[in-house]
Amino acid sequence: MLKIAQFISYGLGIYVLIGLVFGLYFITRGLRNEPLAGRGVIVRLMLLPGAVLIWPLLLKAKS
Amino acid sequence: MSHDFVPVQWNRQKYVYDGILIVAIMAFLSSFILFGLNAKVADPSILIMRALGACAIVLLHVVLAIGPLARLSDRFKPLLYNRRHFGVITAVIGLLHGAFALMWYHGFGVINPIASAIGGYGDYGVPIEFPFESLGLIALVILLTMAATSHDFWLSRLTPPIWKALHMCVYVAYAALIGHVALGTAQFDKGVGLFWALGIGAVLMSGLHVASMLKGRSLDTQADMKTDWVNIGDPMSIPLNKAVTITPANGERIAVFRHAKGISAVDAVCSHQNGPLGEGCVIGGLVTCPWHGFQFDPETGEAPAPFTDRVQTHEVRIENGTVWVNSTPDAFGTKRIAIQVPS
Amino acid sequence: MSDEKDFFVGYGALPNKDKRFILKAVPAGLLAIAGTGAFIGSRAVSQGGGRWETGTPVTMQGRIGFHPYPVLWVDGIGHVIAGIGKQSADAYCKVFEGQSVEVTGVKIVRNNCFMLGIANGDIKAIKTATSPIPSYGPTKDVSIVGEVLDAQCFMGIMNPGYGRTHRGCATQCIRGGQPVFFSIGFREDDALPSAQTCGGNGYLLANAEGEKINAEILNDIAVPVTIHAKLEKIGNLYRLVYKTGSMRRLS
Repeated sequence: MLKIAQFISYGLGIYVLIGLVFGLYFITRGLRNEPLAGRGVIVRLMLLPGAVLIWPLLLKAKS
Repeated sequence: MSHDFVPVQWNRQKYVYDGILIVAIMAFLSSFILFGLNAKVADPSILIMRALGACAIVLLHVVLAIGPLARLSDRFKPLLYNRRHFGVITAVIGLLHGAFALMWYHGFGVINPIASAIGGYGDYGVPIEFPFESLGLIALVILLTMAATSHDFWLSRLTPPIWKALHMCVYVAYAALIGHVALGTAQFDKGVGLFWALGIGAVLMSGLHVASMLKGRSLDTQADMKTDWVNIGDPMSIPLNKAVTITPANGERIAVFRHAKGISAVDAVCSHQNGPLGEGCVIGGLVTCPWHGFQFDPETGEAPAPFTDRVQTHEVRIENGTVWVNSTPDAFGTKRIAIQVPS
Repeated sequence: MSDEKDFFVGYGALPNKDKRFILKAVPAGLLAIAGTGAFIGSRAVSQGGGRWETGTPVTMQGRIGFHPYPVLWVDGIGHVIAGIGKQSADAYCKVFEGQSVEVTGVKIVRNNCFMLGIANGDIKAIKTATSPIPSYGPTKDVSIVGEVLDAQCFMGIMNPGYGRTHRGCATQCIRGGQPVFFSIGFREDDALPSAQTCGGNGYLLANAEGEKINAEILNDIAVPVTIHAKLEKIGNLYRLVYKTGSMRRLS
């Protein structure tokens, strides 16, 4: 059980790390074609946690 | 609204709302700690950690009750208006509890805290051996995802159906939290007080949701005819500036409004957060959603400029003193002149 | 048009009906939430007087023994040594085994005895000779009911430092090599016979060879069990030498 738990915990860590990289891209470059383009830093930072957590949904929506 | 995204659309009511909420949280935490100090717990940190956890689950009960309460009585609509701030604050309190407890009880060891919490001990097959921390973690992940995607940007970006589905997971989080607290309590605490409190909470929640569902149904007129045209009945049976909501056999619910210009029909589902437009009101000639006050022209289904939200219109006829509505919606933006009620 | 005036819109003026309701409901709601907090808070059960004196580290001189967990012996009184966090102090205590040392650590207190929590670097050899480590007294075979726990949480850090709710934490500590106690008394009201019997409600638990038992009992921590063991007294401490395979779960 510990092995599975470790696998899951590292999986979560990797998920969040990828999310962080994607999220930073998303709030800087990724918003160019969004109604949000050109908006302030605070709005972008507010969107970061969302992008980090649901990045697979955003990737899917893009493609 | 969706013409532009700002961090938070602050207004006076939101400030007041958040202020009262923070005062309530402080009241909860301080009375918890004050009464808990009697118990001579080993370390005040533990009391604070527990107070935060208890606070999060109490807040979750309240936030879940807001929807049904607002449907049952208009007086609770102000609670609903700023519900997302309530949700975000609940998630933050839950995060504080979770992070604190995870580091305190599982941190600084030889395996990572999350692995230790979800698989370091116990047996998932036996209730009394169940690692109850894992249920708390599931709830926390859901609440955080909801909080992180609560901004209207995510609503439009993900599209309302996906966003709504994501946010319906709050019920999964609620069930997981009940399990988290019940198992944690059952595994240790001999006192049954908390069990009763949890049970009463769960019964209240289900009762409110069932009551609001029944009320929602009674507001809707079920149209069982398979034809496109649905009979609404006497136009004067629709209260002025209000709507009658019907559920056609095929398709989405329709709100049929009677307003100064006559009778108009639009989708009963608000394009913003799927709010119950049919329970709204015509204010200044605009259909206004009871949830967040989004407005639509009853004749075009479009929000006034500069807003870009819109709902679909439906064709209306009055024949022999009876209102008929076409259950097939028009294309977005189709203008349907309101049908005057023959005097 | 009264309906329209009474219709709440968040960004508009508050309808009078709502205003009247809010003026009554907000104080009632605040009272209810404070009451709920008080109720849940008051449900906390006393866990006794264990405490962790993080703010006031102490410096003591004595000798390091292993039984099989590190112990600082000061004039015949043993203070079990735990590492910081959930990892044992064995590695940095072992080099000083049998030697006179000066230790600076955090007191982990329960009732009238305490153990020490130390980090790497908190221990150094001294020239001054300190009193010798006591020797083991006579042994006897016992059957005993209790729980396998990590010493420092049981003594004073956690609330509760025992029972199933604490299993995850206790297992993580014992996995990390922290001293293992076999505990037979949990609450303050389980009065201790005297100041000398710190081990009286927490026996040091060793395996059949008298070595650390940590890795062997990871599945049976913090649940009521009965074991057969050989009980030995050393100074004010007791050590249980576990008879392999004799552990039975009670629930």
